[in-house]
Amino acid sequence: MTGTPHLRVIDGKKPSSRPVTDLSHLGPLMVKAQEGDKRAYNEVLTACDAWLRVFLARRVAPESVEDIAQEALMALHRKRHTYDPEKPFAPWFVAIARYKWLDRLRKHYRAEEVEYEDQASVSGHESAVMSKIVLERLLAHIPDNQAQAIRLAKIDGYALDEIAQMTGQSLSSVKVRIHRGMKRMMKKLEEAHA
Amino acid sequence: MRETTDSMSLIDSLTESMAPVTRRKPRREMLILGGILFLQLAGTLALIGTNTAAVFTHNLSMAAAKAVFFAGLTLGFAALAFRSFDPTTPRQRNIAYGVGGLMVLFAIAFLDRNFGGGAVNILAPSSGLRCLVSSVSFSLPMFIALTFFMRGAAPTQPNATAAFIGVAAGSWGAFIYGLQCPFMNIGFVALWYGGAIALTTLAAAVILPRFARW
Repeated sequence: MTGTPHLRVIDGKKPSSRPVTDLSHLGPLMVKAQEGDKRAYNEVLTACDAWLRVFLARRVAPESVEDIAQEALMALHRKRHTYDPEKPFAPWFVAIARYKWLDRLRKHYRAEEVEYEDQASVSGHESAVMSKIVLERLLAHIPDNQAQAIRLAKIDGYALDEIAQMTGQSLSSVKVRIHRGMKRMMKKLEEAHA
Repeated sequence: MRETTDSMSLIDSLTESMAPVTRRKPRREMLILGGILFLQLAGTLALIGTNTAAVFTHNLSMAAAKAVFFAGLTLGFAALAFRSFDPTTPRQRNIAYGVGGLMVLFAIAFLDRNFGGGAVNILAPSSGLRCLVSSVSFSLPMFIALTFFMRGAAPTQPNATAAFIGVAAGSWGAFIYGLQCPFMNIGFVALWYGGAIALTTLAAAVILPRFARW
């Protein structure tokens, strides 16, 4: 740490003048962190945490932001040795954050499918880990009948048997439509962030 | 820890527990893998060199084509696997299909396409089964080495990474076994060598994503 008393002004910018979404200054700090500099590491984690809150706020329900942000920070911690100093920091960290976000979505919908098999209701009023904005945007990319079933279940909060009555479909048909629709949406999401 | 702390205390505890790390060095990993495979190849040739010489003397062009086919698949998919260890690498599905398709076309063009003489003669089940089991066994050093390197990396598409490792390791096993195998018919190669590659890929797809250590 000696000799680097002003980590926050490493390229001449004060932290207050830098937007939260700007991670470009973190590369040299991450290199120091890999070498054991705790102060630099703390600064990297703090900046990444702030970035994650902006990134996740647009993508997941508010109550899930904290959990996913913490998972992403843990992933950064576990994989910090894989950062290559010759490459920019931002794409590396953003890739990890996106992976943790999509992984969480995948796990959530897998668990939800098991739930569908057990009971004829949907657990939450809306998706616990996907924001309504993202959900609405993705619904435009799947067939209408699947989008309708998902909208009724995830946004309007109807139980599966109620959706079956409203749409004149059998319960299993509603489940299949939601399952296929969610699968398509996850694929779309993964492709968009590949 | 996550249940009881907020982000700031998580950051503090991560900072506190942080120790210097040795950076991942992809080039060193490639050299280590190359060394392992070289030793395996040298050891195999020392044991079966006479058979290999006989096979290549008897049908040089097809034996060479078979070796190039499996070596090409090995190199292509090992390169894709290493690339996929980097979290910033975009999806490589199309490149994988391209590499695989190109090598299959190469095999179709240069291997024996004669299907006369009956299925049993072409597919030779007893020799084929030995080929299948041996190819899978010979793939293990590469499979294990790549799995180990994957655990130390940050693959953000674990399923694709697993498939690349499976195809690369299976192709390597097929390459080693193919050096002393006299069967050049495309049907035999597709069924038994293809089966071995399919098996290692399936095993990788099932096992490896759990080992990604995120």
